[in-house]
Amino acid sequence: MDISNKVREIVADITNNRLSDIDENSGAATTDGWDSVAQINIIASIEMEFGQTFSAEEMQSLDSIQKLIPAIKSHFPQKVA
Amino acid sequence: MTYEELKHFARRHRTLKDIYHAHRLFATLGDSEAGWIRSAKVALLTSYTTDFIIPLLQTELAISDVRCEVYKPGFNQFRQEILNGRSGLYEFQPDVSIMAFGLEDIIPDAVAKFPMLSDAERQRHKGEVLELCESLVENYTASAASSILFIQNLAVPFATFDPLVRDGRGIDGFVAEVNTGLQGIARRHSNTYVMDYARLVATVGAGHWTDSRTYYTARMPVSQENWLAMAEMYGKYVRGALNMDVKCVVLDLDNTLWGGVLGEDGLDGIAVGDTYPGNVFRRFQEYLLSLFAGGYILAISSKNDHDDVIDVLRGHPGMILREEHFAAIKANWKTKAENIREISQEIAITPDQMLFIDDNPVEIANVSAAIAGMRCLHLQSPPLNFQKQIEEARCISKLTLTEEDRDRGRQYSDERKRREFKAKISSVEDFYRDLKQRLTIHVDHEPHRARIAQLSQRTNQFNMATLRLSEADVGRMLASSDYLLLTADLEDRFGSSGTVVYAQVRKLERSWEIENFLMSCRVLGRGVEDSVMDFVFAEANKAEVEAVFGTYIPTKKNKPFADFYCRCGFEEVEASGSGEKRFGRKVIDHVPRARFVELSVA
Repeated sequence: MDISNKVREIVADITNNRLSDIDENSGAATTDGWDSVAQINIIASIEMEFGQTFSAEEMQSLDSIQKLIPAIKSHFPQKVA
Repeated sequence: MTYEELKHFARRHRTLKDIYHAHRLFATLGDSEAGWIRSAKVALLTSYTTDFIIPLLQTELAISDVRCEVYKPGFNQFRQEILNGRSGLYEFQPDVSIMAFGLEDIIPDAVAKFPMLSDAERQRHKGEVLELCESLVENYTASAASSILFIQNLAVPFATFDPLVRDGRGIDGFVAEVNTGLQGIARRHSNTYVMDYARLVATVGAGHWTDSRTYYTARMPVSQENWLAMAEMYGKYVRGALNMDVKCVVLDLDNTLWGGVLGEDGLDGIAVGDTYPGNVFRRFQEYLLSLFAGGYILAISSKNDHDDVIDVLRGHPGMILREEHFAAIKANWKTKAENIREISQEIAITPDQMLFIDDNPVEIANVSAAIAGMRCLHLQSPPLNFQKQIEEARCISKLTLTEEDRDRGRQYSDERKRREFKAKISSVEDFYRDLKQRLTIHVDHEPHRARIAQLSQRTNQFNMATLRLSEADVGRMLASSDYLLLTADLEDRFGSSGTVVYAQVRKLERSWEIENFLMSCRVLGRGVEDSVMDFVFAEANKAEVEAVFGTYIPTKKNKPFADFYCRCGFEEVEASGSGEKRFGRKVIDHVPRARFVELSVA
């Protein structure tokens, strides 16, 4: 599964949305259930899933699919370029 | 995924992503698709964010067939909610509540300036914390008397400073004193227990417990890495509160209790003793012995020659577990399913309350296919992890040890000796006569309060109305003059069986109502229930009431005893569509029925 799908799945499970309702435009501002608690859960799941660590600032600011995916990729440039 | 597949998935996939996924799928299952056995309302009363744990706890309990509903007051509202008897918390009617606070939230200034505090100030702060806690517990137990309250003990606050040398004056000493105080509070209030959070933190490692990023951005003391461990601990305590443990563990022998195969390697060749790998099995036996001491019944199902096994149990110098620790020893060449069915009958414990463990996956597959509801655990190599695998099977979660628990294993082992004795004696009558049974009846006996609650929770078969009681419920009836609570202790030539009968009688002016009558199944068929019933009528006669009534409410498990009141000479006076029946008998009509029991009143 590619990164984008995995992230969408995580977001859908945590925000309690259908996978088909989560696309590259989804984010805390536009998606039901993506509140501050969900934000922490999403980051925690992504960190565990992809084995990486964001900064405290990133944990708060990476609050949309469009911000999350490049951030995940930038931590693994050689593997998933 | 089906419900069972989903449970399996959630057991095996221990990452946040997968557990959130499982949580969502559990939520989409209809009631007919899900196999919930219990439901539990859990309130989280915490001074810090615990939102993270809700889906994880619900999934954790779903694995054990518990549908869990969670209530959580608004941020830092937990004190107000506990103190206000009409708050949302009490409206929710929790079965279990978990109260947790961090020192940083309760006495932030004192924590911040801790090294500056004088001894007197430290004492004052300790008093302040414990008084607050005690008043919360008092209010809680007054408003939610029949629920169980866990107080989470404290870990040393994150990023505080202590000198290297421990002299008791550092913050760690302060935390230890508060934790001791919390235990005192729990002892003073019924249905209140300390949850050992500090131990979990220590097990994981304090340095890995908190993630400074989420600590500072979201006031979260638990790192996301440890959320699952936290949910597992909460789950364990909730299962303990719901009394969901297995009662009996059925053990394989070869490569489970010892290394090697007895039939091939012989008594001298099997590995159990002081040196590796025998010491691994020895320690595993010590763990099983601690279960035995905790009231879990042990039994053996092994493909071996019976005499060889007895030789090892009696004579192998490295063994920890001996004959006297087992309620049944089935070492033969029958299928394990057959043996387990026999064990189940002999010790009167149903398979769904038994855990079968074996290192052989074929045996596990056969038994779980043959016996519905049987819990089976395939122990995977290496044996180094056997104990951990049992702990992870979510079958063992006892809150406290009663005297009865400590003694239970011996009673079952005595019972095995009784069966062996019975097999040697020609007539059943002779057997009972030679058994020399003595029954001691206690009336409104306060020291039996915990045992009554435990019997009401644990007894499923011979239980007329299946009224589950908390200790507080029992306490109220003991204090009331409207009730007569009878308990009976049984003894015979093989030893004591402890308190085995409980009868709850409500005294009305002209008649008595037996609201519930229950008996521990391990003394079935020995006439004990008749003796207690005779006693009820004798007392009713003294009190000059006209009649005694009794109620039977059917459950999945108590049907074999539906005719108990009829056997005692009662007649059916009322029946409802749901199968509930009420029976009655005039006091003057009663003829004593007990035959082989010598009765005395304490």
